[in-house]
Amino acid sequence: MTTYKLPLDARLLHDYLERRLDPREEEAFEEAMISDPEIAEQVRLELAMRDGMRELSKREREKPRTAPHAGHGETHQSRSGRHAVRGGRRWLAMAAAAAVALAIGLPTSWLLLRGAEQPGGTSVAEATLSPRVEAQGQLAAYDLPAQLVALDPGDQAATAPPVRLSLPEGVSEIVLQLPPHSPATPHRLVLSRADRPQVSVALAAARLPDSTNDGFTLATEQLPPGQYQAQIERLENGAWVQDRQFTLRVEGRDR
Amino acid sequence: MTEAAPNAPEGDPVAVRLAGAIREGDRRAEDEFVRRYSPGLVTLLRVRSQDPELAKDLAQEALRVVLLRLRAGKLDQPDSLAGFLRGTALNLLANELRRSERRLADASSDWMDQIVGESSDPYDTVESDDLVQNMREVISGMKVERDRELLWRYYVDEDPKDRLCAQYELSPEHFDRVLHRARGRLKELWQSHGRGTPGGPRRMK
Repeated sequence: MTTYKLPLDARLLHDYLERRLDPREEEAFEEAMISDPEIAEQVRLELAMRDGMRELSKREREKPRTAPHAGHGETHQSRSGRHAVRGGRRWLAMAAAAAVALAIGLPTSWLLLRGAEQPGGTSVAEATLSPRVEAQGQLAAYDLPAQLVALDPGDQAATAPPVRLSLPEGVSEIVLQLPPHSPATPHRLVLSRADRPQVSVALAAARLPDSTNDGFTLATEQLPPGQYQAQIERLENGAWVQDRQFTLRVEGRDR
Repeated sequence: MTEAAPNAPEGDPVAVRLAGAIREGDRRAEDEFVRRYSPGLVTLLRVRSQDPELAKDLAQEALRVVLLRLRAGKLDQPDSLAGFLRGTALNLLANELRRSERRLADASSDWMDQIVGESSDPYDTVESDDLVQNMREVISGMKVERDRELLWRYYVDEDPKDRLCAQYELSPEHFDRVLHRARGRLKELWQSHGRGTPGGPRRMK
């Protein structure tokens, strides 16, 4: 029988909430929690605190910008403020393991690979769309029916063929995975609808689960069918500079 | 701490006593059973489902199922009551997830509307508002300025750790320790203000 000293060890709490305990440890801990309301109260308290922080972070990101942020280009004049570029992943990651159990759809990984330099300085990268059927422990892959064209800053992405994304039914999330880069260089993705360029969202890159790469996670509900302008930026000397850009066309769902 | 509670599911004398009393038709024992096991069940289901409302509903259903078995004297090992409750709750959750998947597969149209509708429940918004306001108050009430700053910048602004290490002149290991202590103080403050998840377990009908 496992006995837990109160107050609970922070590492044990963390590992339980991250679903990192092995099945036997998890079972023992949960049975103890069911039997002992004080353990339940401590877990509940930690959960409430995490919820509060996560929600606060989310609200801060949604706040309208009150002053221009250094380095923001003129192409994103109406972008939300500094906090809006944060991805909210730090607290979301804490709940990721549990969320997998609840995921109704299948997360899909969209991998950007470095491609060969083309004449004129334009680099072409192949993109691979890999549905990660995490809930069933399977991994399948199929090709994205497009090339991803990474343009030099200053080029017009509109001249390049769009990346076409036709999401199969049941896909709830896509992950845009960046090529390996120095983790000290923050990246972000700025996405705006082609028909409403004045409205854009920015997501901070974060380390992806089960990966050594950073990337962006988007719920497919945030991507209704339509054409988008996507721009990946990196932070250099305190200013966001364009890294690559492309046009993304999200098509209706396969049924 | 409740009677004989700490971490003792195996051979739990309270569970054995409650099982016997419920079998004999003791309604007060039923009430004690629900009060004793609700918090842990709700929390377990909350952790696993990330859905507070679903957690409360399923906990209530698990308690109802097990209570009926106890009334009928059909629980073979009453000293393993916690394990039985856990198994029942997890089965109910698995069934609910399967039903959710089927509902999604059956939805032929308007999936966006459905998602938006579900996410804009005004009740959720009110609870979130309270939570956010509470968290703001607790953080701003922290006495140590560095605690306030560090927690805000790391968890709310989500500034990268390496950037914060550089600005505060901390090694990564030292940063972890400082953050851990700040979190501990935040938690104490949060607790002392009686903050928690809105809504407790429901009473059985």
